[in-house]
Amino acid sequence: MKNRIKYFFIGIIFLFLSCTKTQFEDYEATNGAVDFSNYIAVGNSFTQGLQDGGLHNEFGQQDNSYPAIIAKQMQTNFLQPIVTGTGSGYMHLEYIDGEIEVIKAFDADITTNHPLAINYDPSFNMWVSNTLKYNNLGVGGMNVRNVSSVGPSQGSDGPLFHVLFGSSAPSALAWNGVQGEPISSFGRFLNFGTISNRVEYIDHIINSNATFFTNWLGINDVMGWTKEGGDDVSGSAILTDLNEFRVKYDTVLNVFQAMGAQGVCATIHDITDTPFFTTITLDILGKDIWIKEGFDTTVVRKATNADLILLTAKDVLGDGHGLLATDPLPHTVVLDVDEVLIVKAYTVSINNEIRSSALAHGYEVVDMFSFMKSLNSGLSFDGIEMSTKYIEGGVYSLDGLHPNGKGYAMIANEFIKEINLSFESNLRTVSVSNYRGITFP
Amino acid sequence: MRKIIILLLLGAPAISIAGGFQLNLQGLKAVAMGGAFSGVASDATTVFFNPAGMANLKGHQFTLGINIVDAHVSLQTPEVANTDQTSGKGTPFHFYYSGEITDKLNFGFLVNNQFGSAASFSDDWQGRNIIQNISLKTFMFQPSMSYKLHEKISLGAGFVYAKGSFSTEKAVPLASATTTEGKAHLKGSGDGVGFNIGVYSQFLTLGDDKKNTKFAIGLDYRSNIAVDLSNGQAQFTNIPTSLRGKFPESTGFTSKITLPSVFTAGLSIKHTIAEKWSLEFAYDMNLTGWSSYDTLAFDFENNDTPDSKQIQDWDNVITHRIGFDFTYKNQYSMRVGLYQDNTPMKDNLISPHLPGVTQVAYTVGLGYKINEMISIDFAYIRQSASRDDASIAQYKVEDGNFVQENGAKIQTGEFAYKFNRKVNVYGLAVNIKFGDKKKEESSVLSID
Repeated sequence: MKNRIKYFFIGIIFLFLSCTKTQFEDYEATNGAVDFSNYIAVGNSFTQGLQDGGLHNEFGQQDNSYPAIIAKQMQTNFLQPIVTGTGSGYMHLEYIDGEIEVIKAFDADITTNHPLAINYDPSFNMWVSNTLKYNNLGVGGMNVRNVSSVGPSQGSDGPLFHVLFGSSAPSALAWNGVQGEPISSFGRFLNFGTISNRVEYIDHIINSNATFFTNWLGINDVMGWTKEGGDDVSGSAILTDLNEFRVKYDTVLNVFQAMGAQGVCATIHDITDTPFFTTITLDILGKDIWIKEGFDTTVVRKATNADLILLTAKDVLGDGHGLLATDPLPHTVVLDVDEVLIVKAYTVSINNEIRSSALAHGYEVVDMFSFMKSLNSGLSFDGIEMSTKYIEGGVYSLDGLHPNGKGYAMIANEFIKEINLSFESNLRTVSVSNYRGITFP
Repeated sequence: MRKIIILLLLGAPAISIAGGFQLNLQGLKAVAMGGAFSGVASDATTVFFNPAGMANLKGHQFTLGINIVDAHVSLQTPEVANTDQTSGKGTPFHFYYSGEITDKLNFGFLVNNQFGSAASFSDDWQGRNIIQNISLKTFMFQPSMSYKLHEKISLGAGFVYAKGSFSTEKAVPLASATTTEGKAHLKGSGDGVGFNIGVYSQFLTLGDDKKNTKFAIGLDYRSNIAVDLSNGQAQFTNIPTSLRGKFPESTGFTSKITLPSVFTAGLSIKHTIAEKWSLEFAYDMNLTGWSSYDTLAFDFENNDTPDSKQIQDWDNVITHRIGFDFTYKNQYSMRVGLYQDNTPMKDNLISPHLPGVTQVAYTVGLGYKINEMISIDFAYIRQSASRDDASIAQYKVEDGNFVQENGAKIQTGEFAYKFNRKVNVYGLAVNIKFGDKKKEESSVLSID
């Protein structure tokens, strides 16, 4: 009896020790019905990986642009034009006298730069070779209207919209794009030829021989105008004509279709939800603010909660402007209620164009508009609750317009989910918590 | 006293093996029988299960037992194929004494670990902002009395003094130029009091001395115990300089953990053929008052440190326990049992370090009576559970504070995961018995 008990006892232990395996099998990434070997990303600053109002890579900001994240999950080579040093210069935080202060990037055009302002790196003049074939074709400031210089609104007037405006880089560094107009310094990694022998952005897409693409163009067609307070006169930024938008968006997709590339497009988000527009509120200011409505009006009135005071109004407000009817905030730092409505309606319109253009070409669309709306009320990622709040919300970078590393990781995940849905691939999404958010002093 | 200190060192935190963080490992005959014991009351472990049961125990009886909890837990998220919990083995222990003072009056004492939980994950795991590691240990001390009111009914009561210690660690998602994230480490200890009361009745005996069937019921109520962590210490490391005011290197905190009440109703039926064998059936129903665990709040001494409040909002749960004991010649026992373990956690509020699943667990055990004085018990529990739809959101940042919103809100954000969980529990106990005059006489007789 004793022996039997012993064997029973030993038997049980062996039986159960042998089956304590709980590990899950490793994921195997499969491409599904698509070839990721030459993935090309087209877009603007968001695609290029711009954060904090500049292109920089000191903590891998550019290395972790959303298309770079996607490419990594595809396990495909992805060449990006990476800046060195301080890149284009950028905003950062400093801890001064017990306060956290946002220090703007160094601006050669003004004399009031903060002594700690970060200037562009001398290497940014040269940056990278413009003869290599880059996979990331994102160019800061790129509008859909800029993809080719010929379009419905140009007619025979010639190249109005070659490459382009919206640069914060030193204009002296511009080279032969369109005579007299600075090319965007963020596009310097591409060869745009000369005025008489142009190379268009669309040519770079054609030459890419993409097998796969993501297309997140369209943001700048809204953002350029909107971030200047709805100014289309004194600045360069206009809301792109809808017809032109559609024609040129179609052009991009025609090119991809012609080379047999698969890919996805994305709608654009509601820019007025971003901290650039939502941080300075009348509630926070706690006093009446006077604003001038627009460039072409003389209407001066008290701001209401429906007018959005831009982040760029901070200095003007700090200097004591905007408190009197005789000293209103300039219209370039306020998106007044009418302009807000225009932007929202226009965003809906171009998203409709993006959807119908993609549909016509047989491409699926990432609903970035809805995803980024859902951030407004807060979403949790890996247990970190994040929102669109400036700095503490954890999604956007210091410029209030561009996401930070965590925000770009979320965006990459949205693309990845749509790619998986469209092509039966099973690329893994990434852990948002592993990406860098705001860097505090 | 010295002995007690040594015993304290033995009781390392265990991986929680029951719903919530209750450790149902307080007696190994009970463990082997699915945890049903309040109507059995056949050894000193009844001081815990039902102090009224001491009235049946003759002479002086001691039980000393220890368990080894060997848990294997793996998680899978959409992003990471596999993450293993790195928790070590837990070793909850128990010590019981029951002594006959008069025919009607017994005195008893216990030291055990009734609640506990320990889980840890590697430093870089995906959910480190939710939980990096957590450990809860409790030690209960319970002097008790039982009184035989009537041949068939006895009452028992104990005063419970509980000491608890708690520590937890999680990442703080704040980066500086030289750090990628910070870490919060909270630990504290405290004590609380409660009581344990029970009624036991062997209400029916059929048959005679040679062959009989006995029926007994037991009711027991253990009160909840609020353990005040009044001297907690929080440490924040790798925090950017500019946020040191909010998350200082060190600050005190207070918190409170309410250990739930447990009400048990039990039944046992034992059929004995003298000198040959006996078969005993036991059933217990537990009602555990987990709803007392509604929030886990940390109130920091440093004014700028955002106080943290996690809504737990657990539910009361009912557990059914069934077990059989077959004893051969009053010397060799084989036991089997099972219990249905229900999770107190609401679906949207579960946490990766606790099971959060309803499961049936199986138990087996052996007993061997070496002589009239010494017997040993062995018990084994096997749990195996998996879930593929778990999700959680522990914290929300609001105005820079860590807060948790109500359940409805939490579902908008999620940390979705699947888990596999396999737990083996091995227990060994020694029972020592002496001073039963009647028994000594009869054993002398039976040797003839």
